[in-house]
Amino acid sequence: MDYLGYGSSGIDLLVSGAQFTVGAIKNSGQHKAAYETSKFLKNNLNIKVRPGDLRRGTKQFLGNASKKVAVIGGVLAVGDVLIDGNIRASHLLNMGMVVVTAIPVAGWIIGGAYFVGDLATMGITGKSIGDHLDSAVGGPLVDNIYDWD
Amino acid sequence: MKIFDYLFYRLYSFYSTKDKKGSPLFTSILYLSFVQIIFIYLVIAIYFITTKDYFNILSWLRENKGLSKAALVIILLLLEIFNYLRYGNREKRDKVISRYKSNKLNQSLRVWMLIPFVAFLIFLPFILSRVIKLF
Repeated sequence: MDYLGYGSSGIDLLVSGAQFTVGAIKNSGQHKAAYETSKFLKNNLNIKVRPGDLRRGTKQFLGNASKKVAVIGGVLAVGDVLIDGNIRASHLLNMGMVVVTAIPVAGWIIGGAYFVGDLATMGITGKSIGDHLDSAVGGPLVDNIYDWD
Repeated sequence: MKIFDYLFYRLYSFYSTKDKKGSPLFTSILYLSFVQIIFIYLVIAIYFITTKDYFNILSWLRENKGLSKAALVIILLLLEIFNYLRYGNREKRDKVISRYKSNKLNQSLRVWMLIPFVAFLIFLPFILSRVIKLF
């Protein structure tokens, strides 16, 4: 099982979900939540953060985290192809999903659905969606990318 | 290092105007590190293609796939730390910006060109191997 790949997709799903949630909350709601959190931090942990900074900081952190996870996903997808030495349908699917999840809102939903679906397929059949796709296609699309002999 | 300084300058200038919600420094360093990892791959791949020693390493990488991919992520993070140390300081960053502000390439090269350029770098070793095979 590709723990690193699943870990990266899982973090991506969490970050995307948080971005979606923050985006869905109205500005007044965001201000209120930031104010409440700021009050909580001040009263319980003696940490003084202005609500405005907290709100902007959260959005910036989520935006940055999302980009980082996308780049790591890209590196893992390219690394997969280079290490396997062949191009399979599942590689293209993985790369496609990295690109799709980088698209705000719609991409996050598609990426999240794919991740959950992949885990469910793995749990039920013991094979990921990519493995099933590879079986359906039959063999690698490009057999040996290092073939120069 | 000059090519990376220039790339950083172009990415930083681009994201300073486009990336209002995030941090232009973080974003430019992230993408710069990605380009650097592709450069490292390019150097290693070309070395192994010319020495034809690639398959020994490849079989090891395949046997330890999880470890290899984890190492890839660690290298990416180390490159990011290195770039933060290099460009995180405002004085150093301003120096790089002032050095490349009036570079001739700024007019002809666009940031989007980096995408086909990186794709070309990924496929360059394979193109090279085909050329070597022809001769």
